[in-house]
Amino acid sequence: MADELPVTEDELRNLATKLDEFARTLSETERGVLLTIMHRFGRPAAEPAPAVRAGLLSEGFRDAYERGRGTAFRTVAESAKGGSIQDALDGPSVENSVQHSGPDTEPPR
Amino acid sequence: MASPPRVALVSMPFHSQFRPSIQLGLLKAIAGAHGFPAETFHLNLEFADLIGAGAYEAIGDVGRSFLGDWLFAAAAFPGPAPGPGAPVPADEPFLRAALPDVAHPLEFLRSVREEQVPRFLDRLMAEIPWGGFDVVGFTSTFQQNLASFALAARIKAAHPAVVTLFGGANFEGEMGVELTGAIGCVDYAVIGEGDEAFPEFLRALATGADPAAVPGVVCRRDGGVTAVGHRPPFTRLDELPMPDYTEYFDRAERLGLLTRAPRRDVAIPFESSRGCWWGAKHHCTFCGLNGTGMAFRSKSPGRVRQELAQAARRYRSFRFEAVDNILDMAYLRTLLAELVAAGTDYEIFYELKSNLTRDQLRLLRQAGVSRVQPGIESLSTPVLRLMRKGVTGIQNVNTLRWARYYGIKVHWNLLFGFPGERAADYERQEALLPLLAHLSPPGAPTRIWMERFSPIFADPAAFPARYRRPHRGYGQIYPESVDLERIAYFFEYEFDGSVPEETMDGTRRVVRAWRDAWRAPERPTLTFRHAEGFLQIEDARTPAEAGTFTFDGPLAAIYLSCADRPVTAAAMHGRLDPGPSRDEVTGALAEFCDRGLMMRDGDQFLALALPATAGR
Repeated sequence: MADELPVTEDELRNLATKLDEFARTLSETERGVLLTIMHRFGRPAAEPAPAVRAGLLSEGFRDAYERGRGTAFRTVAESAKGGSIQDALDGPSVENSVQHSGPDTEPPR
Repeated sequence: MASPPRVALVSMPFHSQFRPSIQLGLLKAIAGAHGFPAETFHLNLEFADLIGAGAYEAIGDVGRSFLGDWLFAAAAFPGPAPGPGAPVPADEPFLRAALPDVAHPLEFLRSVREEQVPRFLDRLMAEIPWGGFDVVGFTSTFQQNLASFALAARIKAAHPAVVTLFGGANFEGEMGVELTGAIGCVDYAVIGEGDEAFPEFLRALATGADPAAVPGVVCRRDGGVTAVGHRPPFTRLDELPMPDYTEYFDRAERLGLLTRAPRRDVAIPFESSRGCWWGAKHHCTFCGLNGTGMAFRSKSPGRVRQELAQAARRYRSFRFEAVDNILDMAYLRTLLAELVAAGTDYEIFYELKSNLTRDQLRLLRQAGVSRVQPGIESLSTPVLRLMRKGVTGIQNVNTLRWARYYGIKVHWNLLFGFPGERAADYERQEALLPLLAHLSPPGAPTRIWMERFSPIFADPAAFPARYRRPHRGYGQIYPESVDLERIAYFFEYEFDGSVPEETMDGTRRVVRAWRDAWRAPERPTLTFRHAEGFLQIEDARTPAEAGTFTFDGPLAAIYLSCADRPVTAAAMHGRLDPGPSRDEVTGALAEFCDRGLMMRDGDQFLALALPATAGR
């Protein structure tokens, strides 16, 4: 069965490229027909998910990701780090505590 | 009674020690406004001081365990209630979680029940001249019944001429009628709101009229309980006096629970509305909070502003907690906009409906609303539909996003147990949760409680249960002579067509990890930065494995187009026109979802990242 074959990232990428190339040759209407066919036969009926990928836009996803995040010289790194929005974690921590959770656990400061 | 009755108003354990009782504060002011001077007694503070503030608050927090009532049961019903050696109504693992700062919770609770409670009550009897009062009123909500009965019984025994009066949520409807009939130390009870019934009751006593003739007041008579005269919910909220909390602060400072200081950081309760405008239209299936007072009423914005300013000056605190069940949406145009214009520095807690926009959340924060309970009970639209919440999962996520962005702390839950729910709904929700690690985490998943007055209680035809019975905790605190079916607020039940506990095991694990991640020094984040022509999304939801996405042109535009609110692919395509084809937009949305940068709910899409630049 096809769904039992091991599939690598490279194989998926190659297939996506070919599908993108193929998509370019289709008219808007033909793409709609293809979408409908894939919609009907290509996935379980109960699981809503778009049947095609980004088409021409998929190029934009290919190299979009890089490991790592913003950096700065060590002396300013602390202030430049992401996550500056502050908040407080409190509230009920005991499981099965409150249905109508509210401010009932916070002591005066 | 020739002269005005002398009135004491009492709040017993386990009302939270951290805020004054608005019931006491308001009733004192109402009595005073009608010419009946009243004295308040926040005796719950004395008990918190006696057994330790941490343990006291922890016992109060686990209301449905009935621990607090159990501690006072033997003192309230010395004969018929389970006596010394009666089993604690909770198992040891639960007690360890509930009382993490107590080394041996079982031994601690036994010593409180058998030694500290009797000592506490004896001290109250010795120190307070109860015989000098004509009326002693008790307010009772959640775990305040048994402590109140224990003290009232002693007062009646020592001073038979003193009239006891009970009221509060525990005396709403049938519960109050049964308690009045079955509990000997309850002379009278106010059923429902007391704003008019209480002063009329005092006037009846003062003039020698029959207090039981006051609509809303009941008592035992001729082997039964007098009928409750109909009194509609009170509507003229602007006419109410300001609550008087002076005694609470004096007592807290005298006991050393609160340090004397020029400014206090204590949440002052205030009331800007009653009832629930949403519940009046579509009662959430599990909610029993409003009892018979669902009709929505609110104070005028000017009156609320005046109340906040006076309370801040008088009690030297800028922190407030609305006791409202839901924010009056008109306040977004009036009260809150006026607070912004006035530049006030309040920190306010409000409960509200969760389908809020970015603009509304910005306004709330600017007005000083720093904590909210928006009733986010689920992120699954099918489950939210079952509970009649009138909101979708994607709207709830958007509220969490903008609350996080504007620095509003959100208290929220994940509930389950609704008839007709499907395991698949919770599996989809569980898959979504890790994508929201940068947003405020919920409490642990909880099966819905069946509360009196809620639709799942009141409408058994629509919500048929295999069984329904008063929570077993009531049997461990009340004598057999009390009809538990009539006094219970919480019920045990089992619905057909709701998922088993194990369905939520995965969700519990995810939520635990989420809460742990928020306790770490570096919290998870997911932010975007936008420049002309491109967009960068920095994904540090798992800080140790952070990564950055860079999207150009149309992809950046697609992402930004659903960054403010949920948008359909069709609407997005229309907005991008001229731009990529509809299929391309649909495909790109799927790619964003695959990478966990967006969520989809039905035909709507929402960007999950928040702007890196704060406060816009």
